[in-house]
Amino acid sequence: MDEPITKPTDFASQFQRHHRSLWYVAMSVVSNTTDADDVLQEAAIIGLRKAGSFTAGSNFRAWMGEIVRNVALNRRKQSRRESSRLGQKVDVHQVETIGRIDNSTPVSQGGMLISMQQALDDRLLSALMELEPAPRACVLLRFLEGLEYTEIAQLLDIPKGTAMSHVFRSRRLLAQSLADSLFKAKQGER
Amino acid sequence: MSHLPHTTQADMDTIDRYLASDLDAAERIRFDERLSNEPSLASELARQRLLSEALRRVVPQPRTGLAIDILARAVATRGLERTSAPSQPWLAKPLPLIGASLATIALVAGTLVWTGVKDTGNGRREAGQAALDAFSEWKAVYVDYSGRLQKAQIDTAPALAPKADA
Repeated sequence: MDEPITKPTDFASQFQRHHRSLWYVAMSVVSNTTDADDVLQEAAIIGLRKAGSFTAGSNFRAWMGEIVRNVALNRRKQSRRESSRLGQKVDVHQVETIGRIDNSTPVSQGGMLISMQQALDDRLLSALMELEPAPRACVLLRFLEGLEYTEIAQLLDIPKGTAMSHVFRSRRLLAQSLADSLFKAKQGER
Repeated sequence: MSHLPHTTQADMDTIDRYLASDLDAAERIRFDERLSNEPSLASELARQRLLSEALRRVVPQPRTGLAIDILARAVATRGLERTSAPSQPWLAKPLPLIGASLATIALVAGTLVWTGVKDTGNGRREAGQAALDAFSEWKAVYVDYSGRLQKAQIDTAPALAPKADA
């Protein structure tokens, strides 16, 4: 359980400690590194202003996680509104982030063959982007941050069992997409 | 399309802990035995290892400490007074709002990317220390306090008298 925030430096050090996992939470919702940076910044400012409402002894990461999720959801809504106003059906930010959308044919725009590794990575990334935000956050926090299920559950404000099943189902989907890519690649070799 | 064999959640957890080197000696021996007897479990382990490595490769990492440093310096040198026309417009709004606190975060955390709040940014990210380094050039400057005009060191030949017009 975390210390109370009595001065800005307390907030700063706590924020720094949990910066990575909070960033992955933001990233799971907005699907874009630039937006995730902005979300975290905005959330930090909000968190600092509300620092007085942080209860000593409670969990800073969970408290900040809620702020990050709310800011991220607002940003996503705003981004969708802007996209629909422009008459775009595709979420521009998402495409920008994904960059390399599903390349089931291993040929790049220049007509050059792309490497098997690249094709697998692209496939995995697009499978990851197809997940809903909560399962995606669970996967990122578990695989990249190595958080325990209890910690993930606290951070995302979901039951531990839900966090576990999100990870379990998502990793299966992702592994399946990797297996499919390998299967296709092997068929292509024949 | 190839369908993967089903692995139970308990086995998946053990695989997780195995990959994280989190099993104690006895558990590890038992799991190694199972791996040699159960090919499907061994394949699942290989798949999860591959997945874990691939995720680390493809998912972007959080960036840290870019332009916030500039803000921190600006705040540190300019002070926190509210000015009607600040030299840097992007400092105008956030300063009264967050003032010293943000500067402290900037200095201590160094984990944010400063772009301004709402309409205070110019749409681009401040580049921080990296830009200061890239666009800075070191120069040596000598100041002469003697009060007399000095010749340059390379100008060693005696000065010629100006030619008189014929």
